[in-house]
Amino acid sequence: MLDITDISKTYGLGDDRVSTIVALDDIDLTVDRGEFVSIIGPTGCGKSTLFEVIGGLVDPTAGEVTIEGSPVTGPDERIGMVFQDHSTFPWLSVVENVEFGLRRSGVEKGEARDRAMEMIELVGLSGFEHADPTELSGGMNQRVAIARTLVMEPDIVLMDEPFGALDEQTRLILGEELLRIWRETNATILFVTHNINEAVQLSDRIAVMSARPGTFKTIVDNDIPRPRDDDTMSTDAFNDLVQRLWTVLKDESKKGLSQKAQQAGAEQ
Amino acid sequence: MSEVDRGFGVDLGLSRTNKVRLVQALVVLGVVGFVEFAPRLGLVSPTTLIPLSEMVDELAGLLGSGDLTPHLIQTFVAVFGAFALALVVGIGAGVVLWKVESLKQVLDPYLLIYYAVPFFAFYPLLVSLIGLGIAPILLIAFGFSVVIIVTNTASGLGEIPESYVLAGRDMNLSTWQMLRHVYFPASVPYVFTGLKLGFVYALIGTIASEFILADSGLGWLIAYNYNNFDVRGMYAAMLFVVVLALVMNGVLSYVENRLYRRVRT
Ligand SMILES: Nc1ncnc2c1ncn2[C@@H]1O[C@H](COP(=O)(O)OP(=O)(O)OP(=O)(O)O)[C@@H](O)[C@H]1O
Ligand SMILES: [Mg+2]
Repeated sequence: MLDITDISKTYGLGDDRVSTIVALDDIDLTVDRGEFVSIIGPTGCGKSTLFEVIGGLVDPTAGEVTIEGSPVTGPDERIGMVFQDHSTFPWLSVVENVEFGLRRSGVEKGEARDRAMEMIELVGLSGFEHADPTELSGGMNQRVAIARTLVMEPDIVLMDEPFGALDEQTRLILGEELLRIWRETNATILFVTHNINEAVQLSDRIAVMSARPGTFKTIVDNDIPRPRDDDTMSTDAFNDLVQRLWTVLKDESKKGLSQKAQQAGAEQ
Repeated sequence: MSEVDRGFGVDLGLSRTNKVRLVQALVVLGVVGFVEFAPRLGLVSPTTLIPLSEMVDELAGLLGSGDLTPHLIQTFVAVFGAFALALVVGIGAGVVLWKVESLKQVLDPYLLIYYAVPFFAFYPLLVSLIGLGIAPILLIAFGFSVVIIVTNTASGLGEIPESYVLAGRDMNLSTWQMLRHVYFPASVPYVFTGLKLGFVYALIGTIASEFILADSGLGWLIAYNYNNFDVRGMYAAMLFVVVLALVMNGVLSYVENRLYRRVRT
């Protein structure tokens, strides 16, 4: 359903744009309807860039993204995104945040409110409809962000480290919640994470990215049966898969770190 | 979540914010009490400070008799004229600086040292250029006020989290919708910080200019009364200036809140 073909992205650096940085190099991926695919990779390897390209927020230097065969050429209503950083609007209440996109796209007030309320219930925020985001914890804010994206009923949801800024317990709980929401909405999810355990807990497939320029080193099927509960995480199958992914990721992460050090050095 | 209370070890059953408010109210009460009772109790000489109630009394008299009116008009025209101009120019220039990165880079060092320039030293120059009257006062007050609005607007817009912008674009907002529903509300708190400071600066610029280059106005009146040992008249005028600053701060806070909340759908 989602086809990512030969995507490359080169950024110009500095004022003159003469020096360049290759963020993505020849990325290929096909995602089926209803699938949950995770992407893990070292820092700075181009994961966010890839999502921005898929979401139509950034033009690729080469390659194409299509959904059911029709290309993504700009911000696209078939795609919804959840960002790592706090992106709920602090000047709106929870329900106003959730209905924001609907209202802007012309959905009538009453209907937008109804749909927003339903979604708030789905993400477990009932009772907080009229709270301000600033009064809520980071985990609750991410629920708002998820609701705001899902209420638009996108075909594909891109989540860029949505739990990255959360503590481990909250992350685990929200992971389980996300799986429930995924089942209930039949969403197709692409999910970036730094956390291998999280990737294995959540996904059908896991793509490991190389250090920059980002390409897929390997894409692994995750056959561990669902539902995956706390006990699953202590099984051999789970740990073997985590180990396997870590072996691939480890070398790339080292490369990524030294690149980062170089980049920091070059900027000074 | 339990909050560690490093308060004063007294538990009045108040929330933290209410405790802060309580302390703030006590500070105000303390200042008011001091101004009222220190002169009465002979702690300070009544030629240095008069009780607050007498200031109020004198001010009411001046307002009632109409003696203050010409000074008020002069000062109000200068302050509000300068502030209105600084608001329009300041926000406009702030938006331009934010949009044109290279311009900002060129101007940044100058903006940084702007307030180190001894403004009132230019007063003789201005007088010889445009003569006496309200124009040089207005210009000094404007110059004093505008830059704080420019810098707050530009840096505020620059600090809007990228994620708000990405979220807006992901939801397919048009350019107008982005401005109206993302950039505008997100920048309101920053812009109003600039405006509140900008008003106070316009007020300072006006009053201080009137000290030295006017023949009417609240600043002139304060200086005149001081020179003529009219302590009551001096404090009455000063009280008016303080109240004006507080009221405008309140008004701007109110407008800010209305704007910030009105963007609610
Ligand atoms: N707008 C841009 N202009 C220039 N370079 C950019 C831009 N956006 C990203 N880059 C560079 O592209 C590379 C990939 O960045 P990206 O944010 O996609 O990485 P990431 O995998 O999401 O990293 P992280 O794990 O830290 O979130 C980085 O080296 C980054 O510096
Ligand atoms: Mg990223």
